[in-house]
Amino acid sequence: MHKVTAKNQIDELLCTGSHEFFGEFALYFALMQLAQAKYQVIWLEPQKAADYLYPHALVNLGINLHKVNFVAYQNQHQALWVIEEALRSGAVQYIIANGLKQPNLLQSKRLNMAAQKGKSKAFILLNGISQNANSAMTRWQIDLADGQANKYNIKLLRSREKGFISGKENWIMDIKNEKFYINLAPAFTAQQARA
Amino acid sequence: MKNFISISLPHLQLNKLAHDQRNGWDDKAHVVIERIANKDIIIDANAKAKSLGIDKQQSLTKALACFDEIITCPNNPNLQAKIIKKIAQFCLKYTPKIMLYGHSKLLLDTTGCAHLFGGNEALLQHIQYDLYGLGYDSQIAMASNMRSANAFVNQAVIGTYILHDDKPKEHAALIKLPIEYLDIDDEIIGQLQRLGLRQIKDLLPLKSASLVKRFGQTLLTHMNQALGHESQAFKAIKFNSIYQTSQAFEHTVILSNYLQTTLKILLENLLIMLKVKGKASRQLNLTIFRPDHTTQQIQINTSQAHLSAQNLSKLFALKLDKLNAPDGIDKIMLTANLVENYISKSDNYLDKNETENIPLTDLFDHIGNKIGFDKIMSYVPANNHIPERAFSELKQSINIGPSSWHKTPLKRPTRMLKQPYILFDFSFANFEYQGQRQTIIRKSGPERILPEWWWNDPLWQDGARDYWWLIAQSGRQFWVYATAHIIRAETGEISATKKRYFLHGWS
Repeated sequence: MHKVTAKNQIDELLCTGSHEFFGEFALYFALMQLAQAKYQVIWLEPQKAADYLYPHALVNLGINLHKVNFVAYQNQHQALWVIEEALRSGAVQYIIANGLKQPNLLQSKRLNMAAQKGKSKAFILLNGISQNANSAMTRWQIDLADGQANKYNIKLLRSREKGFISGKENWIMDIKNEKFYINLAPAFTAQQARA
Repeated sequence: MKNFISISLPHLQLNKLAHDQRNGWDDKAHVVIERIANKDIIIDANAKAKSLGIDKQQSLTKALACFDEIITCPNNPNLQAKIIKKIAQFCLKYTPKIMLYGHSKLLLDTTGCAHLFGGNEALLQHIQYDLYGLGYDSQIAMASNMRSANAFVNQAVIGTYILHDDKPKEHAALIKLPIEYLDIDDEIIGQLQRLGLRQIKDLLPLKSASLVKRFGQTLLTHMNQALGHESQAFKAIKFNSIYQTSQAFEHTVILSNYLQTTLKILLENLLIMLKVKGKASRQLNLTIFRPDHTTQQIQINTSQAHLSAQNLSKLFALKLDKLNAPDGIDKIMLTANLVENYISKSDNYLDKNETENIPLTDLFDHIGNKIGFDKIMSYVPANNHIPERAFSELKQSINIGPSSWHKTPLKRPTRMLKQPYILFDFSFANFEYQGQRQTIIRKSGPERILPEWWWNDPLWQDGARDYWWLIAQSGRQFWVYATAHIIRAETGEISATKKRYFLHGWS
């Protein structure tokens, strides 16, 4: 029997298509996906960023760097073109883009269509979210949990698959000894028990 | 009988300049100068300059004193070498054996080639006509050996040729030539002239032993080579193979669909040409020739040697809109600039082990041709204890094989700053970064990292760094280092040391 774990719940939500991560610690949620990658991944970074992902830290987090190729983009338009082409090709398992503005409805629809064709996923780390609606499969907010370092609260803000989202579906991501652990948030666990 | 053609191009640099600046060339005096013993000496002059009385070996200062409107150009041996190589490549149509001789001479071994052009005379006329068409002044001579061909070429007037295809006549003409045409040092020429020995025939009655004793071996060797008693080594230039295919249109073509169809045909032809030689292309150039006699080029690159016309035409399709030919196209030319030995897919390591990587190279070719290959990179570990040099960034490189990354025993920040950020107003209780005050709740460290003493890195000029991990109330973990900044007095002595704090990364 398939055991429903917190990690499985998240994996099921992160289906084929484009997903948006937002929040101060969204990077770690993306890194958790990167650590789970079995095939090639493209990581997009803005060319003019003042900082970069430090490879040794990624290796310590259990990420296979030989599966990761980095692409520097000049602007939002270029980044979206690369994401779309990579999704459509099906050559990569994930494409993760850092530092983008929220794609508009048309752009996110295009990304989803490309992802359906290539059966791959895009994770977009947003600079901030706007009020405009778009067609992202899921949107997540990742913040610090209870003021504890290395413990992050993952909140599902939107899911096209699930339809209505109460905003109370939370998970806790823990980084212990440089390994990722996912648990159901205490409030969510209690809610599920009542159901 | 062997046949050698010597081609001398005495005004190589000026001819090139004349070709580049077609308009107004004849109206102005142009000279090529070289700095010899702190003096600018004219080494070549165009017709206008010569008509004003300016000639070779004249000092530029003197020439400027008489005529102030002289356009000068410094002597450029590199440019000359490039031009002469290009002309040599052009001469491949006459013979495959071509040798560079000095900075401005070419030697062609045309033995057995002349009949293809209608005989020796027709061949010489052909060469002369072609070089004139290219805009180069030439002196041409044909003889039975290299040395005599080189001697006769000095005698030929610009725009004419000397032909010797009869040995006795050639010998008779050769012995009347001045000795300096045998490429002898000026010093020996001076000595010979003092003795009244001016022509080759003057040397013939002299004994070889006495000639060698007095003037060295070179004179005798060169004379014997010219007379055909000794052979001379022919060092033919090795040209890289050119993989090129083109299509000229009878009428100017405007339709872009037609261009794409022709491009596909050219690609297939070129790839067959490469496949036969066991090669594959990594860089292709498409040149279009427009009716106004101008050309335009687009280039595509691939991350691996490619033999798929379909994929390559897709890459060209990304750039075809950059071609601007409103009046149409006369000719299309496709050239493989960079070729590599092709490893067939069945022998490829990737095919056997990591099949998922095969379309990845196509994807990166697609991305690289659109946004630039320098934007694609991967990391490899480097054996260095300095954090920013503990890895190498490989640009234009795709990660395809397993790498030798190992976990580091010490914690490192997830994001590292390209330039460490100086923290003014720093204390271990709190500090300000990007307008936000960070309150520190815990710290760990320090980890001391010493600079590499064997090279003076400007970023590490303050010496050893003490790295601290600072955990802020916001949940951020900052990697901060402290250095001892040395303040020196005007005399250069150390007057004080001050600790400075920098933010280098965070998790």
